[in-house]
Amino acid sequence: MKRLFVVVAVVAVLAGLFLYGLFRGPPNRDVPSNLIGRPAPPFTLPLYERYQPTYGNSFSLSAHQGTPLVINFWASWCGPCLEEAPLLEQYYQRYRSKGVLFLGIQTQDRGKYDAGRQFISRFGFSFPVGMDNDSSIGVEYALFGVPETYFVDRSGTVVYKQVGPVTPEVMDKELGAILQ
Amino acid sequence: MRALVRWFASRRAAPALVAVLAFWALGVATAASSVPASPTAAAPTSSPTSSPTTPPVTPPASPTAAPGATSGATPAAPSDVEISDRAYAIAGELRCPVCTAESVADSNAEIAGEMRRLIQQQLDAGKNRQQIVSYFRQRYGDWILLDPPKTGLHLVVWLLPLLALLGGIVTLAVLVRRWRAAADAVPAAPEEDLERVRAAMRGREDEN
Repeated sequence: MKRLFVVVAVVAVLAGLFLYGLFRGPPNRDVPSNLIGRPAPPFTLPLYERYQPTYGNSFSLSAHQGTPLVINFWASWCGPCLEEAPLLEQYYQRYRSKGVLFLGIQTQDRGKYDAGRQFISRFGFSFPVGMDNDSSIGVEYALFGVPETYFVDRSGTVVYKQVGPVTPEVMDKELGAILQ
Repeated sequence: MRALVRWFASRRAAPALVAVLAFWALGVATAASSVPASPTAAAPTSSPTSSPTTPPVTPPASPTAAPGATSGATPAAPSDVEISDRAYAIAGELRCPVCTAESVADSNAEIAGEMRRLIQQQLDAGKNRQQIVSYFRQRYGDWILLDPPKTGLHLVVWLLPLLALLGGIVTLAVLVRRWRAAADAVPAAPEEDLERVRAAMRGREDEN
């Protein structure tokens, strides 16, 4: 009887482990970024027309050395991107005078230029926004999905990566960090 | 063989089978939890193919309307790039970043399609498999590999299921041996019973 109890207990524990392995749900993608503490990968981003008079046809990261940057990846089909968009514009207005530049990168959205223009108009982005049509910049930044936001300090080092929509807490903290 | 069938039919087979299954379950559970995936956190990333929160997508514009298309900066890969079998084979080794347990080769997610094109571009540029895998590994880390590398801590994922299976087989073998030995050892009958049998036999002989 005692032996049976031991066998049942062991099997129950192992069956529990087995079921946990089967049903623990999809693995999360919040994998620590390889980029944190490293220089932001260089890229050149073709900009939407409305930004070209101010920033030129394309935005080159190397041309903005010494500028604290907030690089936000988004897509026109992405719900959380809609959520965070007003906050991004609001914080850009608040921090642009302090020398911080925001950059919007539409990615994983091949060919959807009209959708991109509508998105930009809807939220009135005053910071430059461009299209990463082949998602190559997204791969350079090891993007898992959208939205993702990178905070780059004056030295060009990535100090933080936000997966998912930004929050006022994250913006306050990380903008403070890249301005130091 | 008959002994094995007999033993199998006996109730003693059950715990042995349970032992093998248990070791196997242990192997599955540990292998599943050793996959280099991170713990859950608020990361509502989404993909065009899977996100339920996706808002309506407006019709795509003509590619000729590309912003800055005349600048010549970061020319986008054409969408009609033909993906070779070799590129698919490499894509099959990489994990789709926005999917669950799906390779870049198998996924319909947009980013997976772009990664296949990037692989093809790199092959066309003369890079080999190892260089292309390294390119993605440098950016995404070991996470991007569908099969964890057979080095360091990752070896646990490869070896533990084998060790668990081996443990199950050894346990089974030991149990079978022990039970067969027990079955073979017929206990001696008490002298009293033997005497009774002898008497009965004698009585039968007398009758005849």
